[in-house]
Amino acid sequence: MKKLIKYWQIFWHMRRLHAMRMLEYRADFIFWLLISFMWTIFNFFFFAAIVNVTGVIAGWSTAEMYLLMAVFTILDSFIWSFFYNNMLQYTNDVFNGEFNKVLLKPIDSQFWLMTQNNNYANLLRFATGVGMLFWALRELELQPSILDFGLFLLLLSFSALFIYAVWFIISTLSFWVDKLDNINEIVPNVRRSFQVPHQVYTGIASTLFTVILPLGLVSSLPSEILLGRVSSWSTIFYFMTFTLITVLISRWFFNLSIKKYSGIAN
Amino acid sequence: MWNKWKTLYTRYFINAIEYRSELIVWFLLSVIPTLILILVWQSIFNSQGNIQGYGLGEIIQYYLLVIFIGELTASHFENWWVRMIREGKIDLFFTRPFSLQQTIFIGDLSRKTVYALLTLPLFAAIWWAMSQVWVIQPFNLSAAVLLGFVVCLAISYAIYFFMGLIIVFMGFWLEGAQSLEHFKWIIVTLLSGSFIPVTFLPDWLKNLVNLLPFKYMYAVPIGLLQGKTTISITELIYPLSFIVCLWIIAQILWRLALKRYTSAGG
Repeated sequence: MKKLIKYWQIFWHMRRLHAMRMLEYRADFIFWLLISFMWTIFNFFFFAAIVNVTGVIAGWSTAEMYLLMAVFTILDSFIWSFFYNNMLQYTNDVFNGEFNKVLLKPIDSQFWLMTQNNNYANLLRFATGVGMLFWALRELELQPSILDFGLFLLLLSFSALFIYAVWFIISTLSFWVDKLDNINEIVPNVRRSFQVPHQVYTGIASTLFTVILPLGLVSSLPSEILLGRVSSWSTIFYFMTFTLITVLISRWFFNLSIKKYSGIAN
Repeated sequence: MWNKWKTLYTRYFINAIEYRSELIVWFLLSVIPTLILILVWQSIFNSQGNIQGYGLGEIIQYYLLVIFIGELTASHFENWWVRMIREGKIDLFFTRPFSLQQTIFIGDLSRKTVYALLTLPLFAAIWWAMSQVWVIQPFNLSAAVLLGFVVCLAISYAIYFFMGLIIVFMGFWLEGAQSLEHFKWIIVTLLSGSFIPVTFLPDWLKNLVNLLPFKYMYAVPIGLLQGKTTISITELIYPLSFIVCLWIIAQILWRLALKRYTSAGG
């Protein structure tokens, strides 16, 4: 319990530090806030243009697609707020031989790697996602029960955890490959796989994106909970189990990889 | 003069080869979102054979050509050069027998050559694989169409390059000038027809796209190959004038920047 409190305090201490840094570079913050917001609007517009062609994508109506986009946007804000900067710092430290400073800290290395950085410029993205979510629910005349909403939040957390674990495994490959600066761009570039309903995937693509690496389920499953049309409870169970296994693998792979690490003193 | 350019080209060519794995990863990462987009269109076309004059095969062809044009013409040098300017590391370009602008151009050209050599076989393989799954009609090629397509490629590259150059030169004034790159991508993606064929856009945006010269980057060259557009020599005066305007802006910024630039050491 004492350890948990310590980690909790460290987590918030780092958030405070980054909030102070953000206030120091206010113009920079506002600029990035604007850019992040522009990309969010662009993403909505992008799919609105496609949905408007026929009014439906893989059985999802326009309003349902907006709800899916809202869930995606909420997840996307996590990706850019927490995952991206931390993974970038992680791989840079490995490639530059400066990872010693992480290993020598008297806290869990993986915890530190995940919490040392964050970016507040995506707050507007998050707010837009939440706003769109409630707008879409109203548009669809849906009133999810507390249980549905709880399950939605649980699945959303699992989705974020899944993205994190996959990304962490990919970043940990930096111990094994020669300098590959764009290793951190892999997950951001496959984000579109969970920007669309999982019913879009058929044949081999379905096996790949919903079974082997179920990225296609990341936004779709939480959205389906809110829409009250869960396609299959076994799929949800599969996704949650898969996520937990991926997290365990990421942990195991990290512990294996740090044994391989050698770096100059810093 | 020619020998100097050749030497510079060779130097950057060798430098680009060093990062060949990264270039291949970049290519694959740019392909994945488009492939997912194709799956989205497939699900749309499941219910209809033809939408606004486009069949699924033509849409797939459209997006493959978007990848092709993007790989050959899109520039990504802003980040690096803005950082060089902000860190005061461009002093040596004032004493070299070629300007900073020429260096950026040759560097980008040689990188693009390596990129094309590495990725064009991969692109051909993807095209072949796609044509095994979907019916993709062959192009209606004639010398005039081919010439028009090549001219549009040159226009596309010039617009990308000069927009990039203007962003680089903004680095003399703005701390986070590299973030302006995002504006470039949003503008080009929205107004060039690279994310969706222009015919599917809402009317107000369609009018805007037709008014601005960015359509010559993707929509027009693809339309030429697909036999949906024709182009006359007089029509090209408009995008060429736009490129001249971008060039003039870049020159003005460069002259003003030279008066402003200071650095210690170098």
